[in-house]
Amino acid sequence: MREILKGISRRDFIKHSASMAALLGLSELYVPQIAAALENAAKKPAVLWLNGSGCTGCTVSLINSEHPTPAEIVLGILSIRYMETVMAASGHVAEKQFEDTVHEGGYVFVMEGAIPTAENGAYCMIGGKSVMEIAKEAAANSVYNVAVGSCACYGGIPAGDPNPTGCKGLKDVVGGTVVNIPGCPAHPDWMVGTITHILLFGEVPELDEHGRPKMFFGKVIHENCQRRTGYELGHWVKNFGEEETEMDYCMGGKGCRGPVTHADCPSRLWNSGTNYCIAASAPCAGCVEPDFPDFKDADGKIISLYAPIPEVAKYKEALEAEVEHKEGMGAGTAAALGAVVGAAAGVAGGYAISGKTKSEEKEGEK
Amino acid sequence: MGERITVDPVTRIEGHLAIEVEVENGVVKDAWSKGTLFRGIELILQGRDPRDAAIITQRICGVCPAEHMLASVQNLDSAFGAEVPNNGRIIRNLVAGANFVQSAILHFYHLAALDYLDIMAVANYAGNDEYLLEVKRKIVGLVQAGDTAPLTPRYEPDEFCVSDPNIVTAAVGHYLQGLETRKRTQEMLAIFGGKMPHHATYVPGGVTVQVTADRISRFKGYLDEITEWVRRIYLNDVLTLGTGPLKPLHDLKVGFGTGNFISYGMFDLGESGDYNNRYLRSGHIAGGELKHIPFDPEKIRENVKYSKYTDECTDRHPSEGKTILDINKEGAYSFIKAPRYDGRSSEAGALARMLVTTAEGKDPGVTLADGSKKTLAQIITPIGVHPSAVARHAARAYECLLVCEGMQQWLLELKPGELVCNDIAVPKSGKGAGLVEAHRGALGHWIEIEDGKIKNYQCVPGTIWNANPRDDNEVRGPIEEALVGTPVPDPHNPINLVRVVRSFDP
Repeated sequence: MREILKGISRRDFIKHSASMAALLGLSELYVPQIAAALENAAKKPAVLWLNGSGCTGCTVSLINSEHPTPAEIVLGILSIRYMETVMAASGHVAEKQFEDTVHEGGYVFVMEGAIPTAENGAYCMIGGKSVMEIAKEAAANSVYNVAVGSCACYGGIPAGDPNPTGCKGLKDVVGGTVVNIPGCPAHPDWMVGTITHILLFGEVPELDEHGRPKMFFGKVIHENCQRRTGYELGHWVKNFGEEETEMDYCMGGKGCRGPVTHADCPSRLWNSGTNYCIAASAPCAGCVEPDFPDFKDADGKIISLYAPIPEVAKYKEALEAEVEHKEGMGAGTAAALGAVVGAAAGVAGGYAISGKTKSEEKEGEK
Repeated sequence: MGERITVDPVTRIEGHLAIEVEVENGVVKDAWSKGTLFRGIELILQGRDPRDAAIITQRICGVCPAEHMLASVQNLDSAFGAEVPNNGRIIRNLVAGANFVQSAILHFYHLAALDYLDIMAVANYAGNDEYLLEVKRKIVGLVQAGDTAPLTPRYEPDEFCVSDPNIVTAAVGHYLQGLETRKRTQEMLAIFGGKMPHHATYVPGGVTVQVTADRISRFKGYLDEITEWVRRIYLNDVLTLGTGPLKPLHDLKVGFGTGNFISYGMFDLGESGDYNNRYLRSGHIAGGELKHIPFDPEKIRENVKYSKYTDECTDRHPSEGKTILDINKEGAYSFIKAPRYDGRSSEAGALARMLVTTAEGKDPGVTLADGSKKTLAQIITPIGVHPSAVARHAARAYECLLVCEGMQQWLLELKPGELVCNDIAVPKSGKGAGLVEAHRGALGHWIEIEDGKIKNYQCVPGTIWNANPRDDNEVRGPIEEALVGTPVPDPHNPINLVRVVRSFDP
């Protein structure tokens, strides 16, 4: 990395290190350490990025990165050896580049998109080989394996019931340690921040039970939701387009998955801090969760993405019954009741969610 | 029998595509386009709540999710009988319009430009423009560090590549600026979309997000800046290259195609979903004759003789379409079905939209950087009006400015405080169609609802129109046809093949 830093002024360099520190949620005290780590890196870290059964949305999201900029990522920070959406090479030139990169080793392997496993992988082929086979080759000689987007992490949309092509996430295909950065798509900060953490500290960040870095996926959306008051008070959005949607009314009745979705969207926001789903009066679809898009009701049946999740349905029902009761008695406010009813329904704090990935559950069913 | 050349993977596209051609005496005699990915979204949708289709189908494409979600909600609007209020219609236009601009910039600078520029010519830049010298330092720095990935390896530049250091360095500078401008289009979109890719605000009956004065003014701030960049840089670059260094490629008619074009029209101006009242027009052009034929959705059929689906899936209108796999079917070489309009293999995309709009006499014209107002016909007549790979880039750049100028008007038609959505319940049964344009071409979604659930859902996206295999009558798909006649002097360096394929923005 020293070579490419020659053209950069000391001031820019410290600024860059500072933005890295901010991205990783580290104190400014770490800036000198980050600067030293960047300077000591002999050359740019190599990346092999493979696209499987997906939509390329995570690549598009990556180049929405604000700090560092997409130009810095593609030409400055990383040595992108293989990434079909970006690389100059096609055909046999691209195939050879893949082989050379794997042969040389020492790269971070990034998987985007799910891996179809039915029919021996015939549903996604590159250069006459299945992506299943290619992913195994790439993972065998990499230093770290990273899955970006919910498809690569847990199967995502193409693994939606009945999973017609047998799609799986990377970990279920190659095993070992895989850092999962889910989302549909993954947020650029989550991708850049995780990869930077790995490269700077030489280890994967602390992960949760679903393989996600806790620094980005440690809290549920609900904890910092701007509509939390509406939830507590029992103010529910009934129809899209109502004026109440613009206020702090809760969208739990319209299918919001905020209470069971682990991500920092409410504080990080999307597209350089412009907005996020709930602030645009759209319910959270729970796109970072292993269950996405197949959230289930209490009986294990798939529910609509616009239907309340069981936890919210139960709370809403209990709250409404309680309010009716109290109004009958002519005393108390719904506000005071929120916490009590919430605790009674077992939903006041965090939410326990299934510890299994989608494909594990399906294995279990067989 | 000529020599067979395979390009697999075709990179810098969305999805997975392989191309095979037969070359004789340095020219392509025959071509096969092979879609090598199948996800089965249509199968995943069966039995689900119809509203979920909008969230799931937008994930078909991460580059054009706004348009997929638009096709899906218009499909649901028609099946539910939902009337979309004006504010809802306009916000839908603004979100999809922002994504059109995003997609155009991404395609020209970041996906296609490397096919036309010898990027290493930057090292020979001898001018003294401060910004361009910085661009030069960046590229030379990579060369000195011995690591020029992902700019190399590559197919080697040929005689059509632009190698003038001044032009190439300026273009690389615009490649870098383009990365930033494209990103701004997504930020602009997120004001009314929540986030991007895969925005969240389209629902049957309208949109979730309210119209407020601050959202309008923020959107306008972005739009003014982006419009100027498209006008002064993007369109200017494409016209400079197209009338100069790339004119020989256009004159040779490299990437000519079938001469048939299809557009469903885009950006509703009156009633939502009315494909006869749109800013970019709907229609058909047959046999290369620039005559507007009104669009009739009943004339769409999908063939599967060479696609990996059972015979009962063939020759069906998408509203009655079937998706039953037969991956070992003899002769089948693609997961892509072969749609035909009125029996014709028809190209979709910006060139199709602009030719249809021009043929109908409805091109409003754009204001160029020099202040003059011109239509596409006025601009391209001097360089020769015929389809080609270069013409596709020109149509895309022109249309991009046209859409920016359209958005400027629509934004001011929004009414803060007025209704954005008529949220109505899912019906027990019904049928619907959503016919719009994705940036890469005509995009249709069809639904049949039974017992309040999806019974059948079929999608025919733009790249399905372009990258399809032969139909039941052995007629090639548009990309296959466009490849025939392409010069490939060196079979180990088939750079013209990827130029032609990428010009369709698959």
